[in-house]
Amino acid sequence: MKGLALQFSGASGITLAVTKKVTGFNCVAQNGMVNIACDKGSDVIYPDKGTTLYKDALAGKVPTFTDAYHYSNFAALDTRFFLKNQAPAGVEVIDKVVLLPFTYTTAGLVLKASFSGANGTTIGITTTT
Amino acid sequence: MTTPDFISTYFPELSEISAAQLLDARTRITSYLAVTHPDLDMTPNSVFGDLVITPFAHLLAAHETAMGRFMSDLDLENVAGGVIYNCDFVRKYLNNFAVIDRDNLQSTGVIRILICVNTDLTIDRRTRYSFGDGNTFTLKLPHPGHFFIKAPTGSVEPYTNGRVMVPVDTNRWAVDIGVVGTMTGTPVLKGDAGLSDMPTTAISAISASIDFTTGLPETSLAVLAEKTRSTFFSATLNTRNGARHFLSKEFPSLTAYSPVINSDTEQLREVISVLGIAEGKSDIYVISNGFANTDQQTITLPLFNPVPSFGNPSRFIAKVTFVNPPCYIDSITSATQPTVGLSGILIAAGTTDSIKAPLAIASYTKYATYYLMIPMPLSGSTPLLTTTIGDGGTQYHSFTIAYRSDPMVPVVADTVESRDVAPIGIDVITRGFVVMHLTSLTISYVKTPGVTMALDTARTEIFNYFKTLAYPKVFSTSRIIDSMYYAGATEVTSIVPAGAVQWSVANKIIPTSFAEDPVEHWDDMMGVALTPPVKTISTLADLTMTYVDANLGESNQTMVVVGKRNVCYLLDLANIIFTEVIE
Repeated sequence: MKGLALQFSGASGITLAVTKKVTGFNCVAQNGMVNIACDKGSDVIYPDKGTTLYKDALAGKVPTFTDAYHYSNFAALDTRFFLKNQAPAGVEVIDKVVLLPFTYTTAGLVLKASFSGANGTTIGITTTT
Repeated sequence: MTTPDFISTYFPELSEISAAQLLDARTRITSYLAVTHPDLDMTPNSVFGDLVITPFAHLLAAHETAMGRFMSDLDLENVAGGVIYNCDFVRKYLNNFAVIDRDNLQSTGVIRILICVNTDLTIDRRTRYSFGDGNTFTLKLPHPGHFFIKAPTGSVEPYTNGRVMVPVDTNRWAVDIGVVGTMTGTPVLKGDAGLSDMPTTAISAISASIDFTTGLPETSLAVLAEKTRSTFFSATLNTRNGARHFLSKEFPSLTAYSPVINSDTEQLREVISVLGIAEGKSDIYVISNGFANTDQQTITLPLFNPVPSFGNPSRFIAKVTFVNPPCYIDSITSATQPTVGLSGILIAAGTTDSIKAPLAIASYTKYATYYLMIPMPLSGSTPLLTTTIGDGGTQYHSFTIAYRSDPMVPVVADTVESRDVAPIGIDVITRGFVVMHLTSLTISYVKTPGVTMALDTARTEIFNYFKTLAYPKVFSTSRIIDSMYYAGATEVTSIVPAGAVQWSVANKIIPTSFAEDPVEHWDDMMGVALTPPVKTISTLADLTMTYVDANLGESNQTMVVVGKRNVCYLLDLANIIFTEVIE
């Protein structure tokens, strides 16, 4: 499987990396990242798509690290279920999504995410808690 | 052709598309593209999936809904059910079946233009005629160009709008012409005076010849679609039902119309070519609400043989032109000496087109010509009618002819036989129905003692029944019996008609082989003139008789025919007689 790549870091935020493409389980991971950032309910076709993390954060529901853990776990769980439900054929199926708060900066909350497939492939920053 | 705006006409609002529809569309798009792009990531959250596939899913779902709506507009069952998404399209679509509502709103009628000069006159086709507030009409002209009123000695060029003026009294001439327009004011009735927006001194009066007919209410697309589904016939004259459809649309004032085509019993004009192929013939019989409209004309006839001798009686002979083809002649009297009895009057009928309308087929059509002979009434050897002396010493006398006609017949003929409407390869002629003239209808009934019969009501109902009785309606006693029961009778014991089939208002039919002027060679003409058979009516079965000229194909054929498809009835109100049976 292949798809257009997204550039998640940079001054302009998330941008389309026109000259790059993602393949295989990287597609699943990239889609997982997008899912985490999307608001739940933003897609009329897939009501389960997205999470409430971003909206909750903007609403001031994540003032502490403890709260960040709590909401990140829910976001990871929603994303895992959604990716698993929408798993395309011929690609390693998602098995685990880990999303943990790393630090608060002046710009906001920094999270670390990792996506693990059923065959053991892991993409992202693995964090133990 | 204008490019259709499919989005504004058939596409649904995006909010109308359900999530289930979108998901289904997206899934099918993904499956469809996966055949050629198996590696492409089209899942939700993917760039291609979210930015291409998902919008495409909206488009596909909307397009499928639009196509469903479009196909619904093509399915006349849905249109007939009132489900219409694009009225403009459906209207044009129905036009393909010649199902239109364009002319339905127009009222129709016939006006009489009285002229005080007997010279050619041109009337601008844009002329409008008003009959009070809200009633405005224009001429119903089948051909391009203006309306030409020709002098009595003139003739109308083919495929032009024209009529030859007919003398109605000693110094006035008249033409009748159909009009269409709007009638939102007081209904226009026979005799009402009208005004022209382009008056001329040559026209002395304009009046309504018959009661005008209001336009039909607008036919909804749903009704049109239902009509199309139930009976799909083109509104052309190529088929029987096509002709019926055309006439009902064009002339709402017609109460009956019956196209008689090849192989019908009533079709005598059918000719088989040398190749064994029948030439297309269509006789369109029409009758309007103006049928049996009373009219009268005063005509001046020259006197032949002022000094009679044996074998050369003194008599008035002339060609008579009627404003409208007569369907019955009530009386012929002297205009100045009406008390003088006239007897031995003969009317001979000819035709202006012996191929299209030969012999009796010309009857009740615009092709018929009539020659009138009135013997000078004598007291001993003294002439009873005073004459005036004209040019060359010829003596004249004026007579008044009271007759009945259907003024719509020539109006329909003008349109039906026009170049734009008449079907190619089919010879169409417009005729009034053959008249079955009933001199009496005697109805015997039984009633309960003490019951007052509503005979006037019954008489009016029966009169109206016969007046509108023409194919596809066929005579049935049930309507008469029903009227009698409603009027108070307990039994109808008998219904006895009396009368005769009137093949023509003329007594004689001039054979097509006679080429001389009947006026100048009256006796020669009478020597070869044909006498139509007498078919009397004395039983109810006679009212539905079928009769075809027994001499058909012979030299003495008259080409008379009557059957269910071409008969109508002329029964006066006063000739309906009720007889109570005392038991």
